[in-house]
Amino acid sequence: MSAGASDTRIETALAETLPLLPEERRWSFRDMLAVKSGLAIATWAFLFGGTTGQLVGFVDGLIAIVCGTVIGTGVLFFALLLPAYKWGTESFVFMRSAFGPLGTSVLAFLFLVGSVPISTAILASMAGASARELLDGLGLHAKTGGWPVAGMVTFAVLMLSGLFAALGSNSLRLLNLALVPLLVLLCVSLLVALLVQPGWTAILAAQSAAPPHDRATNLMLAVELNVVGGFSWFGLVANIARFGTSARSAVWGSWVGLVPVYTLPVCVGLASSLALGSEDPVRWMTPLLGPGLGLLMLVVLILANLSSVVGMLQGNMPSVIQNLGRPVQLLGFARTVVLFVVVAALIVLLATDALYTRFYSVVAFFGAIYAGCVGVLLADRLVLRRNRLSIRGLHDLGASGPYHFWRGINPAAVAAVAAAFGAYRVLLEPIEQVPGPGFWVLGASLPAVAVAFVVHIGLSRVFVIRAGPGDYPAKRASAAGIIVEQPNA
Amino acid sequence: MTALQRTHLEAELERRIALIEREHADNPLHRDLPRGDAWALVLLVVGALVVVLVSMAQ
Repeated sequence: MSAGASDTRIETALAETLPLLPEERRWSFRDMLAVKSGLAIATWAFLFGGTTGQLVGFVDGLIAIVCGTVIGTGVLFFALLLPAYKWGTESFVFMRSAFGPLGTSVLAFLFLVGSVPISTAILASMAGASARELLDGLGLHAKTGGWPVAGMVTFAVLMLSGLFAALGSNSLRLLNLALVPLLVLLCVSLLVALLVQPGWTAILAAQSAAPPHDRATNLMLAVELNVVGGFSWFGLVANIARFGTSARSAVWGSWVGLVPVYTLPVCVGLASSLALGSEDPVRWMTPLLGPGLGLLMLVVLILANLSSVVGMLQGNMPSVIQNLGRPVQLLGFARTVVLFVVVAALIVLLATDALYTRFYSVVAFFGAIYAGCVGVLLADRLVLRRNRLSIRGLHDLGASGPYHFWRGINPAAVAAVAAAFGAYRVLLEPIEQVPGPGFWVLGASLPAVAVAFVVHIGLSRVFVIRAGPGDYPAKRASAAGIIVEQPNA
Repeated sequence: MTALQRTHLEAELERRIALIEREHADNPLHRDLPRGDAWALVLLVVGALVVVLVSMAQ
């Protein structure tokens, strides 16, 4: 390839950070289901189940997991997945219409730099732990001469995931089409093993070891955990859903992957934490399934975490490149993936244990902010803009751009997110999970969504729309008294 | 990424925006979720809320 041709070539993966063309949206329902299922079946699902099991028994836990996930993902779909699909844009690019380009970049920095390396590190660490268990089961650990096998596999998973992610969305699709049947087999095997031993009766009878509050509050804490679990897919699921051939395949492929398929491993984590005292299948898989099947499933668990890390990196990189500024854009797609893999590796070295023990705190803290963003996005698109948007305006970052607001920030949206965070904090202190008055019946994230929704509409109508910026349709009464919609100048 | 690649990326963005604008102008509802599907999604969320509230009351 000549130097000139090389210079003008755009990597396939980098081109995916741009709005997608119809011919690039070719994923069927089956493709979408495979990718979302591959993303959902991983360590975090077992952790969510285990954390739920620390609060409530199996039946309440099942209600909390299924209902919380349905609520969280359903609301998120309306806030972010549907508009990102409609315009084919990366999630945070769409968010510029509500928050302004700079406001969106600040949120993107917080969400992406804060959560992607952490989640990647947790997943890779669990793959490493599975490898150590696998070698123990085969009696080979002693023969490794004291090599840190878990650490080596963790880093191998990180590097391999980075490689797959850097190749673009098609590698993600093909990887998951190959792996997902194995991942579903893993979950069903674990669930069947738990139902055989310790058995259905023991699982139903088992209670949380030390539930912190009364039953209603514990149940709401469990529901809340799973609602914010649904929210925490945030931009990732929307970015991937853009590849769907139709809105129907994008939505239902995502929904089936993120709700029914996802709840399988979460229920495994719940049942095992209640009946066996550990949500981590690495610790009980081999004794329960027998050496042959147990070891095979440990291999599958490593692959499950690998596919999730690939999805996490590949799905979030368009957001990173679009929103973290020119230095990251100059790095390009592949080198940005490598940068995130290196940060995740540092977290593995320094702080993985702390992340495991503070799992609910991390989820709840980000959930409080996600809830505010979800409320703003729902209000902005569905009420204030009535589902109309300028894709050209979303990419116009200049001061004269329609979504520039003031210095690139929409103060109404920022105030709404702050108010929502305050409401969440009143109902549930996110770091220590101290419930406030009314939490047992209201929860925290849905009231926070409602507060953001109302505050954003109120402030926008009173201040922003009257002042002019934001390209909101304005209602003007004509002389005949007919309401006519006109765009602001 | 070189300056030339960056310029090419900007031109590619402009080309895509023009094509997507044309797609939406030709058929504004083409990429919307059908109304029945949207209602099904709403009903699932509302149903889940009701189940949670009933469970709390028991």
